[in-house]
Amino acid sequence: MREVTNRSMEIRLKIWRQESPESNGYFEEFLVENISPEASLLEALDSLNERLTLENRRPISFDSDCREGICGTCGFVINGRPHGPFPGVTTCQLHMRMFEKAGLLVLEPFRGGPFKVLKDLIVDRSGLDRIIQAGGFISVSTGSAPEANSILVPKNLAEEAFNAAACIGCGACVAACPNGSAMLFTAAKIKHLNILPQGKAESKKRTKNMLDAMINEGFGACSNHGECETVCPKRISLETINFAFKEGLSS
Amino acid sequence: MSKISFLKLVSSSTGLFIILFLILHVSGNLKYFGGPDSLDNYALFLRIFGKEILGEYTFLNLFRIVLVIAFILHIWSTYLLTRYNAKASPQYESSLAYKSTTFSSKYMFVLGILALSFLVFHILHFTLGIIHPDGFEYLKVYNNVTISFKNTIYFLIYFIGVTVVSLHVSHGIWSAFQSLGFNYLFVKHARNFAKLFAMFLWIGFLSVPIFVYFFK
Repeated sequence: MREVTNRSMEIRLKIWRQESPESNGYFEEFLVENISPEASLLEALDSLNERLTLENRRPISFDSDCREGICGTCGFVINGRPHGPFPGVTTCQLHMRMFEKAGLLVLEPFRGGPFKVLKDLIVDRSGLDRIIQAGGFISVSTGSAPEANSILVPKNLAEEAFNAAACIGCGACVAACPNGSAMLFTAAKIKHLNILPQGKAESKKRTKNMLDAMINEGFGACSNHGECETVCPKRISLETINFAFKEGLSS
Repeated sequence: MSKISFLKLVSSSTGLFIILFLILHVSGNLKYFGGPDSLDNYALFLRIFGKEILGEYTFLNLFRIVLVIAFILHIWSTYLLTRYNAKASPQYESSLAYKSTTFSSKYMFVLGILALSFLVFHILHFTLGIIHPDGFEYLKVYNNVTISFKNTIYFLIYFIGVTVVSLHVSHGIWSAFQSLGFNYLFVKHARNFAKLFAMFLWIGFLSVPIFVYFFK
C-alpha cells in the first residue's frame, strides 16, 4: 500500500480558455498551491474552480462523469498527449503525484475532425454518437429469454469482441490523429458487433454505413500513423482497424 | 462498399502493384554489373518479349499502359484520401507530442509528389533521352548509364530521387497491408519488414550510381 502523506505540492497550469464556440480562445496560467499529491488532476481543477468562484472569476469548464476511467466523458490534451503522458489511463485517473516533477501542465481541449470547442476544455464529440447511430440495430428476438446455450460463442471470439467493446468513446484517438480520423473508434464499434453471431446479420450494412458516416461527419480517412493506439486508454490496438478495413472490403 | 473502403482498395492495390514493378526494375538494374552485353541484351529482350505472338514492342507497350493506369489510379485515390485527412487535421495551439508517426508517414503525400517528378525526369532521361548529359544512344543502355552517373548533378538527382521513393515505400507497404486487412500477425511485423524492404530497394537502386560515380 502506498503511504498516504500530508505532503502538499504546487503546480502551474496553463489552461485553454474559450467563452463560446465562436469566440477566440487563449491560454491562461494558474498557480495551484497546497494541493495533495494524492489528489487527482480533476480534483486539482475542482479546487482551482472553487478559488476562481470565490474570486468572482469564471471557473474552468471541463467534462467529467464517473471519474474512474470507464465512462469516456473526461479528456483533454495534457502536455501534448491526449489523456496525458501515461499509457492506458483516462484523464480522470491521473493524480498529482504523477506530475511532481513536471512543474507546468499545459491543458488543451481535444481537437481534430469535427470536434469543436464548446467552452474551455469541453468539445463537441457528438459526431462519434452519430457514427454509432449510423450502425443501426441488431436483429434479436424480443420474445422470452432464449435458452442460455442456444447461441455458442467461442472463447477467443468472446475475448476479442470484449476487447473491442472496451472502447469508451472518449475521442482520444481522434485527438491524437494527425489526420483527425475516428478510425480506431469506428473500427472498435464495427468489430465488437461484427465478430459475434448476434451482430453477423447486419454486419455488411453496418460496416458500410458507419464508415460512410465517419467521413460524412468530417473525420479524416486514416493513413496508418498508429498514434491512436498509443493514446487509447483502453489499449485498443491497430488490429481492430485492420479488421474493420477487411470487413469494409466485403461490405 | 463504403467510399473510403473503395479508395483504400484502389490506392493500396495499385501501390503494391507498382512495388512489384520496382522489384522487377531493380533486378534489371543489377545486370549492369554483368557488363555491357548483359544489360544491353536485357533491354533488347524487354522490347522484343512476346514478339512471336504479339510482335515487337507490343507487350512492352501493353505493360506501360497498365503501369500508367496504375499510377493514375494511385494518385487519384490517394489525393482524395489525403484531402479528407487534410480537412480533418487538428490545429493545436500547444504542440502535440507524436509517438508513432514517422517522417515517411507524415510526408507521404509530399514524398509522392516528389517521387512523381523524379519519375518524369527519369523517363525523359533514360527512356526518351531528351535530358541527358552527352551522347544518348538508343538501346546502348550500359553506355548511357555510365555517362550519366559520372555526372555529379545526375548522380545527386538519382540519389535524392531513389531516397524519396524508398521513404514513400517504407510507409506505403505496411499501410497497404493494413488497409487490405491482411492477417494482422503478419501486418504487425510488416511495419518493420516494410522498412527493411525499402532499405534493400534503396541499396539496390543506388548500387549502380554509386559504383559508377565512385569506382569507375
